[in-house]
Amino acid sequence: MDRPLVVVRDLRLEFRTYAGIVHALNGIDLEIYEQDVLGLVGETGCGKSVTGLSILRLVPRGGEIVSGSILFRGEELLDKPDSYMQQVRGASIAMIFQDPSASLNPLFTVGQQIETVMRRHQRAEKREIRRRALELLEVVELPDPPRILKTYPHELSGGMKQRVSLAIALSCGADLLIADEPTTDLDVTVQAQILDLLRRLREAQGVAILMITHDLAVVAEMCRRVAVLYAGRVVESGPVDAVLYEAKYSYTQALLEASPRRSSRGKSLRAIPGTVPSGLQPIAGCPFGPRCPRFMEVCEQSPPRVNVDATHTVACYLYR
Amino acid sequence: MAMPREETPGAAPSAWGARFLESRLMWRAFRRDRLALVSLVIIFMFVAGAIFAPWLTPYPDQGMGKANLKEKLEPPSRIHPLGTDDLGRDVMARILLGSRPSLSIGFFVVTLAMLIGTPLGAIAGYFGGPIDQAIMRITDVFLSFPALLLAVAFSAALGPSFFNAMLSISLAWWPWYTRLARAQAVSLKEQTFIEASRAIGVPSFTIIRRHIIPNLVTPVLVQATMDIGSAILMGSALSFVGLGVQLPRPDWGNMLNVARLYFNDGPWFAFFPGFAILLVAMCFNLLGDGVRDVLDPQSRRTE
Amino acid sequence: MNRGEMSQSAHADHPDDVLVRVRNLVKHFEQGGGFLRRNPQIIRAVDGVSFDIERRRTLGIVGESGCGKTTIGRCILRLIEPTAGEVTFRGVDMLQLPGRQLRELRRDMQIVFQNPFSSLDPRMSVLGIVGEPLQTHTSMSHGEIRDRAVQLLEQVGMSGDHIYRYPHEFSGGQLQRIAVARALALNPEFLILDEPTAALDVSVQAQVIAQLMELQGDLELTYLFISHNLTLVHFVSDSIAVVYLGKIVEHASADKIFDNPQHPYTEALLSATPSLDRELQQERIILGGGVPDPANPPSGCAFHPRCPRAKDDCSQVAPGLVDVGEGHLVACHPE
Repeated sequence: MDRPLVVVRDLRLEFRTYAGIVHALNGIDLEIYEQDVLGLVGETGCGKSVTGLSILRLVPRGGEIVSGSILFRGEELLDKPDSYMQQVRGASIAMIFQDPSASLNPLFTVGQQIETVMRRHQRAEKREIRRRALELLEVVELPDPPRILKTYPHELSGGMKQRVSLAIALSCGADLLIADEPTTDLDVTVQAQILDLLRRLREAQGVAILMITHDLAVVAEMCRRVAVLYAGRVVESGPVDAVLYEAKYSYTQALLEASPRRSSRGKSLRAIPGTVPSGLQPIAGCPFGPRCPRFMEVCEQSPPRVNVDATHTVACYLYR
Repeated sequence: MAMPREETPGAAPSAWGARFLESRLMWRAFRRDRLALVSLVIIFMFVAGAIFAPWLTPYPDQGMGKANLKEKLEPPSRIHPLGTDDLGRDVMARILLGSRPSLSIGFFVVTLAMLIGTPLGAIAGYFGGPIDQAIMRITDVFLSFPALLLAVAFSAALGPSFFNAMLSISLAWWPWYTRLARAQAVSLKEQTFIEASRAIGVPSFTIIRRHIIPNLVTPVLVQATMDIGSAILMGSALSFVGLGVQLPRPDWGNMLNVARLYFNDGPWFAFFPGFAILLVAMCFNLLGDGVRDVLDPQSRRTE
Repeated sequence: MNRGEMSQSAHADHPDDVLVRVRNLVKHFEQGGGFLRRNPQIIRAVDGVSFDIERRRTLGIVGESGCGKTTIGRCILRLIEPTAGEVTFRGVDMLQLPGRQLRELRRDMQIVFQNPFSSLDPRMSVLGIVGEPLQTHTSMSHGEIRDRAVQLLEQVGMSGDHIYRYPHEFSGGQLQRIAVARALALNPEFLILDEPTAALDVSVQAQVIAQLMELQGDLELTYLFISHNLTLVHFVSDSIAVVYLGKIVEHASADKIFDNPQHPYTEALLSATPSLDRELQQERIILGGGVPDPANPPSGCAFHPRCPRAKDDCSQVAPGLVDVGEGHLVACHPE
């Protein structure tokens, strides 16, 4: 947990849409350390998925990174040519997505898909690749790997498909795994399996995980550190225990109060008045300002990143 | 919108909702398709020409059939910009006045076919089962014949006239709308808002009227727009063989019928009505293409 | 074979208080049949489910995908016709009712669906949507319907100005509130909530749930709350029924389900649910495999292949629901 593997500084991204320019990311600051599990949490439209995609420079059509920096092992990724990024993707940084059906090609068998990825990044004989593919399927705990190699994605259940995605992601020894809502579409018992698998894989392979999710409970259980996103900015970040149990930023607190939990029975869930900004207007001050119960005049200017202590930061004037 | 859908599961707007949502953006997209815009303008010009025909030509009575034997088959000149026909009548006047039946048959046929075919298709799709089977078998019988052939057969049976031609083509055309409406209805009836209406206790026919048909309107209208051109063509074809508007009243089709005999001596007589048919049909097709491109979410995703 | 035995429902101390009674509800779907195919597979989506729902209470039904919970809700309303069983509403046998009387009864029981974007007709105004039940069942005039629509919107915490707007102008949370307003239009007694917040963000979910609970108190409503989210179901419900592959495996008060789960599936479900409460973050019971294919259920107890406590009996005979004390029902062979 020493040197940061990935450092994102002041990342800004815009989308051109029919309705106008949407400011999706407004100055994202993140650090992902080696072998760390960083949670990226927020609600719809906060920019968490786009952040994950940006690290791999897989910005969707219509989007453009307008400024900022993304350092991977000290190298600036934003001015590298596409050929360089193609090497990075898969071999150094890998990604798995929410819907494994959409990210696995229905026309190819599992074996073909794993092997294609490996052949792209490694020079090895067919036999060696085949052996490694079988090994990977075992690592992700799929039953009967030789049979699975020959199956097509649609023959597998959601949980199994996600395991295959994991196998592909880990096939080339990536240092960072970006997981974009990997268990959201799965049943809760299957989710427990996959999260457990992720935990063990991290320990065994030493891969860092960027866990993108809307589910605070998943963050509580899986992650070591967490960054809370709102309207394209990181509003609070730090160790999970600090952020979730000693939350400083009003939005984080509100989100926690709105999340039902065992102990909330009998009390009411606090709703957050107002709505999330659409991103069409650039916001000068604190993005949560209009909805914040502790709003002050100074909040109309963009709040700085304040250190609550060595590891816990908040973008709020209250903690200046 | 090109922005990725970062949403909690199940939050995707239904295809129906999304289409309606972007109706305002559609006009803006449509404006970019120059070919479609130009076609729209040309069509407007033709329609205006049809409406104001008697006042747009110095020869309205020739347009309606009065012969002018002194000026038979004269080539285009300053007093007769498109020349004269075999009976000396000003071709431009004939075309202007002939545009009335030629264009209107397109609109009437498509409207009638829509009005007959769409409810039938909606009913077949929504109810399924034996009702669906019954309606679709009848539809299939009609669809097994080429439309023009059916139209000619009906028209011959009913007797040659504009009204009968219009009726005949509509009778040949409604099955296409039934098939289209049925396909849409089948997919629509799985939508949750239909289930919600059933849960409220809304009777089936009311559901069809209130929910299914209004949500079908878009694809049906797109089809209808594209069909107007073909309907005009078919109307001209019927007149060409003598089954539509009867001489001396003008119609592009019946003009062509006569004009082909005089092609060597007066090619303009055949050329201009033919060109008018071609231009109008093509413009409707391009317009329909433009409308469909605008409504089809795929092509609008590009920025 | 099912040796079903329901000695006592979880709450039926006073039978008069029972609004909805379901006995041995069964729904089978056929798959793969047809003209040339001889052997259609039978999917036992709901395979003998029984429970009572008391007035002004909330029964939560929780389970994973394919367990049949959504089908149960649809069958109670007869949106899907059950294959067998009995559903009684206020003492009236729903399944025998002829069409006209069923329509009448629809005034008193309504449903809110999961996806607010597809459960409202995108071409209808809010007024049309919320007014549809009124148009269908009453002879209210246009003006009266409009006034009632405004009243309903205000009841769900929205401004009456919205009645002339269209669904695409609203967010998910607002749409869901419109759906609730529609469901309440005819003053029903019973509301089925089928994953009403699954498509919504947490903060919006909080609003909708808060609204629903307030309405329950104000209007004396009875709820059937269907969800896959155990934490949410626990928060909202008085009693909970856990469903696995078409059968209820455990049924007890909400607190008992959480504090003292008896069925191994319930335990696994509880254990698998990630929690913000630090005390609950413990050793996970990780179940192997996934939910079995409903067309090919395991023999005997459907849960036995994944059950950490399975014995020989379990693959032979399916256990029935047995009262293990104070109305806590479990379908599991005793140790």
